[in-house]
Amino acid sequence: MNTSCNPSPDTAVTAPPTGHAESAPRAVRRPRYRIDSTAEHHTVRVDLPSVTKESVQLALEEGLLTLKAARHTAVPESWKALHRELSDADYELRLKLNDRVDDQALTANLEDGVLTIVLPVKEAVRPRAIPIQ
Amino acid sequence: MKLARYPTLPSLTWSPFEGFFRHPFAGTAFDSFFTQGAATHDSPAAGLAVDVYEDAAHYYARFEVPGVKKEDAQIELEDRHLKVSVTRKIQSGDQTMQSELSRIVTIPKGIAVDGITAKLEDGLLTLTLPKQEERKPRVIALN
Repeated sequence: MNTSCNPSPDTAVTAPPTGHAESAPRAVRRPRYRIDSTAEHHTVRVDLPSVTKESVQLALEEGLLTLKAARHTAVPESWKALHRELSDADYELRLKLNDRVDDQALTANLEDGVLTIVLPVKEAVRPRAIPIQ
Repeated sequence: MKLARYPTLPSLTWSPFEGFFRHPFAGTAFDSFFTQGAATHDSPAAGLAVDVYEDAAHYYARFEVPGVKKEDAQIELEDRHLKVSVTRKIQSGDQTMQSELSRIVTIPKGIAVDGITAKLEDGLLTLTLPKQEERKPRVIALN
């Protein structure tokens, strides 16, 4: 069991440095996330409050998992802000997968503002018990 | 409405921006409203951050509480102190870890307390606090 919020380079999933070179119309920020790893799978849980399923974009290309999610924080025009602490920025997270992850079997589920991404470890690299003859 | 951080986590720290977020009505009749306890979303220990809005008939307080189930959120009102407490349960292998966060909000006078409602959706908790009739703006007809 390996639990990490800031995975070190030898873990299966690493976050490359963020670089938002593209001219995004809205500010983006990296959401908080945590990774739990077992021999069978890595589970990434990303905090995405104020996000609906429809606004989540999850893409996997050349071992790079890219998550983008827009917030729906807009309030009615008649509401006047008295005090603001919450961010308006959309979310963006990029995670680099290593070749031990079975990227074809990735699943994702959004519930209560948390996106749970399950990345199975390839069968071939899972630890196995060798029976003694 | 005063917002006071309610430290429940050992790592919870006070924001260096304390007092920065003075609401536009500070010093007016709404002086008791949201003048302290501001958290910043950039702080990893920001706790329960809140946005507050108003319209003609209501105040609204919104908290981001990702991963919190309806049954794990508690809202208590005692006198004018509204305490919002949430428990987040995180499954890690065969263990469940819990983290608790809370925030006390001192609500302004003139709230119809029986009409306060709360909604939890997509990790966003919205409290709606109706103003009492005499607090609502009204148009006085000229004779």
